[in-house]
Amino acid sequence: MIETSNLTKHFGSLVALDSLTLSIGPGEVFGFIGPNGAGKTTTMRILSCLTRPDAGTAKVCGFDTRTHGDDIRKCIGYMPDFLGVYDDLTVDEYLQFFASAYGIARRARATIIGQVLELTDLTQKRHSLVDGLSRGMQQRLGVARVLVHDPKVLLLDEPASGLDPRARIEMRSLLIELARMGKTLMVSSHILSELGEMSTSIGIIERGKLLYAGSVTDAFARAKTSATQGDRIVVKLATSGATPSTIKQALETDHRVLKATANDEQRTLTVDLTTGEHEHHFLLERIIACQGRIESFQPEVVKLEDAFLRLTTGALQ
Amino acid sequence: MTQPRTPTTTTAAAAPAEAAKPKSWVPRRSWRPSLSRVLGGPVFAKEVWVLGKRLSTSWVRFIYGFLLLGMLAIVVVNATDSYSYSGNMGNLQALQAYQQIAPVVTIAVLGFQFGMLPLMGCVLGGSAVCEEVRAGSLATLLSTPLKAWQIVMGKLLGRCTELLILSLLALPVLLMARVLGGVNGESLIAPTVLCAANALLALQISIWTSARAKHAAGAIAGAIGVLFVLWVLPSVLVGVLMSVPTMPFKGLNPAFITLLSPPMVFLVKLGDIASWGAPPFQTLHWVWSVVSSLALTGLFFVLSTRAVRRAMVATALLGPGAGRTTKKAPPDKRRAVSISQDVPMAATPALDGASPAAPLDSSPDSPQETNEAARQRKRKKSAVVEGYSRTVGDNPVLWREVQQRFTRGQWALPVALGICCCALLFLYWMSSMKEGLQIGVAMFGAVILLLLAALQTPGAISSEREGRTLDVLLTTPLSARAILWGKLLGSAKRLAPLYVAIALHLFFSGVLPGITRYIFLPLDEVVRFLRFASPAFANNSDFIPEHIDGYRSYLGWDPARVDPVAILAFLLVLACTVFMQFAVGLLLSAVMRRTTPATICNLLLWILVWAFLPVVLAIVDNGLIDLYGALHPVVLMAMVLDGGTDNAALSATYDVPDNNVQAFTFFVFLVLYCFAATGVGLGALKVASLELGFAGGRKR
Ligand SMILES: Nc1ncnc2c1ncn2[C@@H]1O[C@H](COP(=O)(O)OP(=O)(O)OP(=O)(O)O)[C@@H](O)[C@H]1O
Ligand SMILES: [Mg+2]
Repeated sequence: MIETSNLTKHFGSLVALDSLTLSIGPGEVFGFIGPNGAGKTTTMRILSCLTRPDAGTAKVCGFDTRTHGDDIRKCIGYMPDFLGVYDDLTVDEYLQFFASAYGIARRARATIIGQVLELTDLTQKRHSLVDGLSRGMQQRLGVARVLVHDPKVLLLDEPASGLDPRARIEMRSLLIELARMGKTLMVSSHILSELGEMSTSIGIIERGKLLYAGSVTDAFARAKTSATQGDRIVVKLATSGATPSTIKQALETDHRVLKATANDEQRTLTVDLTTGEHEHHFLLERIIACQGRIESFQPEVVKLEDAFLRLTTGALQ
Repeated sequence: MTQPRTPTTTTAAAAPAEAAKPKSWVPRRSWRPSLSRVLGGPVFAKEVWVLGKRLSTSWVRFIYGFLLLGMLAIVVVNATDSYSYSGNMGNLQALQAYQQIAPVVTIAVLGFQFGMLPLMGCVLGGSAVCEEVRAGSLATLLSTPLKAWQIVMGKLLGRCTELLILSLLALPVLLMARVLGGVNGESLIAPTVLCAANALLALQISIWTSARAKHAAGAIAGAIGVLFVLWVLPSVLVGVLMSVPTMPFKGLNPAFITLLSPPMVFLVKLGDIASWGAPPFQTLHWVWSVVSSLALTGLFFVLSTRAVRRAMVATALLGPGAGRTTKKAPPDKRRAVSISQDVPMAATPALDGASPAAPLDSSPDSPQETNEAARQRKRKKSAVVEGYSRTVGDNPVLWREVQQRFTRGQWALPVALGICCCALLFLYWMSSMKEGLQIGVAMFGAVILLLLAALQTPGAISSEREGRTLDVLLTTPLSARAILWGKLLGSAKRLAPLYVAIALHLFFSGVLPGITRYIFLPLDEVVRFLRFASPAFANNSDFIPEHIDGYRSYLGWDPARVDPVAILAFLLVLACTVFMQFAVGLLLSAVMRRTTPATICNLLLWILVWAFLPVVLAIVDNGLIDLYGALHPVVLMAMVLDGGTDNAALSATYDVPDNNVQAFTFFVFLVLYCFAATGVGLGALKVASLELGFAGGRKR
């Protein structure tokens, strides 16, 4: 659905996008992540025909952004990162405004707006002034607006920013619902845990260069320090039992343990296992055998954050 | 020796006490009335810095300097011509020649300054507050300890520096006129100070209008209007009152009228330089005019402070732009909404049921929730009311433009129109509708309309860009043409009342005088009754001045008639010109990033084309100005009314500057002009749509 090849964009001497090649298939939810100033917004603006690339081509729904802007505009919905709203309209008028801009017949508008508001949970605010909505509600209104003309491709730039935890979860389920309806989504966000849960594929970009594009599981695999590393488990021990360092010595003899680090002051023990399927109970048994009293036992989950931190250098552009 | 020790001891004493808690990294200061605080401190610094950094500022300075130099060069060349200056004169002769040109040069420069600086003041201040309100940064300022008056002062002084820089451009010339040309010092200082005081007043007024308006363009238009009224109204009022015999103003020196209007005082002072004759009042009276301008500035400073405070509170409570044009529903209606919010389960199905069944294009609302709001909206025609949604038309951009209102209160427009009507009727009555009045009023209205037209569209696209709504608009399939025409027609709709008013005035006073004179009969009766009832009136033989007597026997009352063809031609020229100005404004708005520079450029452009160029041409060459005059809308409009008064427009001769032309030739010129103006307008729209569609394959 979305294809770019060697997309390049300069702003003066600054290279905002550097030969970005990307491909997103139909029905995918593509999570687009990268540090501030990486070029996410620039990419989306090029895809929605708002900015002209200096070099390279971008195709959306099979149309070239340079020549078939009008066809693309009909099949995409773009939600900018900073949503400007008209201060003198109500929610209903705002949506009507865009429905009319997309050429939807007057008769059909009321029904569509009703449905879209229902989907974004804004029905209560239908006749409130857009200006008076809270930031999160405006964000939802932005999503509602994008849906008015039932586009095939959605380009959402940080849709979850400014939402409360509950609304964030709702937004996520809304996006998942949209993906289920067969739409292609490109979502940029800084909240990685969220993207990790709903994306089918992710792209990591830094300084205009695409560092990684592929499935989420692959990205997780890259988060590990080395090929031999498996799960990591953090154990906290009570003060009454054996110290972490004594247990550490006992553990390191086991072939399933790659490395163990003890911290006697905080009474924690971090155990890295080797790769492969291991039952964790062997650890428990060993610690108890060494007179250790376990306060908590926590396998560390690999997160998208780790992949992100590992792949990006954190340099600002 | 003792001086530096004092601060050291205080820190030493304070140190042990504060050692325990981490110190704030901002040195704490008590409020001292320091100079920088009084001057607005950070706001001032930011204003100066930002203004200085912008590219548009340098452009404005450049254009201003360019205009000044151009005019100077022309004046000097022309003056040296007429004083037969030649290259091989001795030093003494050259100096003499220079002394002869010096007054002319001085008058030209000072006149230019007085024309431009107050205008620049209006333009510079127009964006001062409203842009911040829309960007939401005013609310941020509210959270700092800055006072509203400090903000106003900072903005005022920040923009003053810009005015100062512009006015300094002329300083070398004036100094030379003083040193080499021997122009009297006071006659240089007086106009300069008058000019500065009025520019300051203009700036302060525009900051005030900016705090009340929504967009910079509206603020600028408002400021120009207020300034104009302040310049004209007092002397007109006093003039009228002086003509009424029973008033104590009767014995007043007529020079007083002049004194009340700064431009008049200025002209008189210019007259000093050229020694045009004895001034009508004593030399130092200009000081009075300056003082009154400064007093007005002070008044508007206080008003601005209040307005800014109100705007700050409004933005802080309701977000940017809130609480300005929109009307929140009164409490009883809000309660109705909140009740339905409390019971979401009950309300949602009702909405669901109502929406699909909404008949045709009537408002798609649930009845129980919005009936009240609808009724309220009907009562206050088309006001934005929370709780009720209007139906959007098929060109959404046009729809929104048309819904936008020119003035804030719903009564402002009717009241303004009412006042205008009364003033017109009064004028008709006073002057018995002679020709000069009809043309004068129409031309006055036309010039105001052209001025407003230059301010309408430059913000149209750029304000959407500034409000971050343009991106969203450009991702819809709306064609660039639909957007531009929507904006253009919306602007046209906003100015329509004035256009219609001008048309009505011409129709009423020119075509229908046979009927309209009866309207004044009741007034006649009133006067008669007063005479009868009040001995004071009856005994005053002065009371029936000639104009009242003139119309008393209405049979002898003979107003001028304007041929309808001439009126139509007048309106056509006006419409084409306004269209061209709209289109060029839109182009500037699309090309330039920000509203304020686009507005300034559009205004300067049209002042250059309509006012500056003719003056220059007139100085340079008589033949050129005749040709230009034939293509100048204001001249064309005046000519067509003049020729069509008491004549059939199509067979009259037209008094084009310097020679009379037959109707045919004249109308050929007129039609040519209309075609040219429309063509320029369409071209500008085309370029603007190319610019808007530049990013990606947009249909133009
Ligand atoms: N109109 C512009 N003019 C100049 N530079 C720009 C412009 N737009 C973007 N840039 C620069 O291009 C780079 C990429 O910006 P972009 O907005 O795409 O980043 P982003 O990934 O969306 O960042 P964020 O996570 O903060 O939203 C940045 O360094 C930015 O400064
Ligand atoms: Mg961004």
